[in-house]
Amino acid sequence: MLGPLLRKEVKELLMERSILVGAIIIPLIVFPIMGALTGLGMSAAMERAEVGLVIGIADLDKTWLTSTHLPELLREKGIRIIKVECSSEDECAAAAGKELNAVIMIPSSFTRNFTSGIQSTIMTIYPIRSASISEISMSQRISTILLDIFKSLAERVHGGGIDPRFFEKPILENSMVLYLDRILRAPASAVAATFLTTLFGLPLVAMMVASYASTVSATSIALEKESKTLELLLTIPARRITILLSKLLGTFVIVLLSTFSFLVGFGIYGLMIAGSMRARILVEEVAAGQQVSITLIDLWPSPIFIPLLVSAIFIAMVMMTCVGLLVGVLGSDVRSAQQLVGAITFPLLMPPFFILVFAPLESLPIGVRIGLLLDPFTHLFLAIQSGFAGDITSAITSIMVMLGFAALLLLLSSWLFMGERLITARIALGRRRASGA
Amino acid sequence: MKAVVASSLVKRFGSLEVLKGVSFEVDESEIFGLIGPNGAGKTTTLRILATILRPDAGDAIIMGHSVRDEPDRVRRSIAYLPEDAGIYRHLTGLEFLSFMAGVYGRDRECIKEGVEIAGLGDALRKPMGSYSKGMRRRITLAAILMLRPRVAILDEPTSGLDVIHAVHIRRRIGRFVEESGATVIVSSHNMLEIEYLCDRVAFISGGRIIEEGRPDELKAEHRAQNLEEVFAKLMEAA
Repeated sequence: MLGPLLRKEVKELLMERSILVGAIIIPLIVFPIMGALTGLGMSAAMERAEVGLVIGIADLDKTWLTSTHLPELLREKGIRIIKVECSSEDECAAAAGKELNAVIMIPSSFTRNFTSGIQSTIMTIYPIRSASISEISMSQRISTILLDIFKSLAERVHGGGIDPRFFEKPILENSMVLYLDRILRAPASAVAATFLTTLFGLPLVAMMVASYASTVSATSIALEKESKTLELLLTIPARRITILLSKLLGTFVIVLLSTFSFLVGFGIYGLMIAGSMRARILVEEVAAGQQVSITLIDLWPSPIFIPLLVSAIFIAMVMMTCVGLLVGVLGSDVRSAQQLVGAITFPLLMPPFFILVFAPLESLPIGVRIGLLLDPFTHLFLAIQSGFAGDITSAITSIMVMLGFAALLLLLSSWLFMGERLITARIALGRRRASGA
Repeated sequence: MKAVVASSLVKRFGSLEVLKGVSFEVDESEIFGLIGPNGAGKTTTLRILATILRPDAGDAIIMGHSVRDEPDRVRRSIAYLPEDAGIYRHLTGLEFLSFMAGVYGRDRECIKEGVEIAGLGDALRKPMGSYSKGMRRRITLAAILMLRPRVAILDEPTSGLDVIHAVHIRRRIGRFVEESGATVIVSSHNMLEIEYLCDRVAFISGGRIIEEGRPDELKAEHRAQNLEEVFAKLMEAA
């Protein structure tokens, strides 16, 4: 009894095109591609963090220890050293320029304290120039390297009679971050935590809005087909462009409502998480001797960032609404349209998100770069990242490219709404497949 | 002026030729029936007249406007009830009538007429998702007829309905033509219904019109008791 029923169920479900494509074929293709691309981004990020470090040293002590032994140990780790002349935070920050990955300021009393087994405080400045994990992880990587080097230096100076507590932490690092020409007086780790929240949070919101727009618009058109109201709609004395516009605007209203509720919910969630994280960071850093006062507001790039962000997300919403309309027409009902739209938008959104979070575009191989640039949604993430890093010109360029893609998709959607395509698109596709088979 | 003039309509879907030169004319204030078996080309013909499909060859002129070249103008003269027309599940019947009146630029009197044609009473205030098939058909037909279009195109208006709903709909269509002087083109594979309702009919089979005329004339010509017999004799002859 069960056998024939089960055979019928499996065959019926497998023959359903939306299930076959959306649940079986697409994951087999998409996930390996995404894995390869994300792996590429991650390895590019790690390479960036590990090779070619350039550190500036502002040596206010100028002794045999700071001018000979310390540079020697740094060079052994493959770090290129540039001597800089500065005596204040602002001067050292300016000295970081566009090339240095960090600037270390060695205080004048360093050798005297160090040789006496007393912890010295050194000041480090880490410039953050792009909004990617590779850039942020670099500061943490350098911080770890510096601690190792000063441990080696302590071992070299004190030999076997070293105080274990001094060896464990021979220096106190008073680090700060140079971000958009502003000095954030907080440890790189605290800035990185706040930065990462923003780095993932903003594109995540953008991605949510965009993908929800495609689902709503695909549902909107598929619902008309499923409930057999499309033909009635197409014969009303309204121009097809008006019908298209009503679909677009209706989708925007729903997506804006959804975004609002998402932001409120996500905001409450974020506040709760941030509250507990902030308390923990404060405790840890106060224990380490450095007071933290870093919030998202400190990282907010410039007033123009908000309109840029809103514009980028709005254009992404328009693009995805059009994609949803184009895809929704091919679905026979709401369920298949939603599965189809997911199968198509997922590969458009996920690879640029994951790759660009790990590494800046320019650090990727040329083939991957071209592939990403052809994806309209890469420009959404580029616009957000550039805007966040204070590069307004690049952000505007990305938004202009998005506008181009949006115009193209709008044209395609209008074309679809003209004549009989809304009714015959699926028939034509089915016949093409049948003749192809 | 003829209300509808269809001339040599041809429609293909890929290699399948669904219409092979369909031609007919319909006078103003006439109820014209298009009858034939399933797959004969009735719905495709009506979809062309309703400007949803574009003919590959031939043309149809509705109230002086070409469906090929002036579909926007044609849409101002017609109202189309698709076969098995759906409803917006979350709108109430009243909201649906109001929506249709709104897009056609009609006033509240039109909605009142729709309420009267539908004859659904308090159910009009309930979401249409809760309606039975017969109620859905009545509300969609009411939404079409209340607009008083110059040409109403009705595809299988009583298909799948029980006798009560079918009779209500047939009566309403007849009354609509009497009161408004509009033209109605109605398709059906229920030939007895068409015989009762229509002034003139055309038989369509295999994408071609195979016979056309007044029901009484056709019955006399083919010595048949009803249109079903006429159609059977035509098919035997073919």
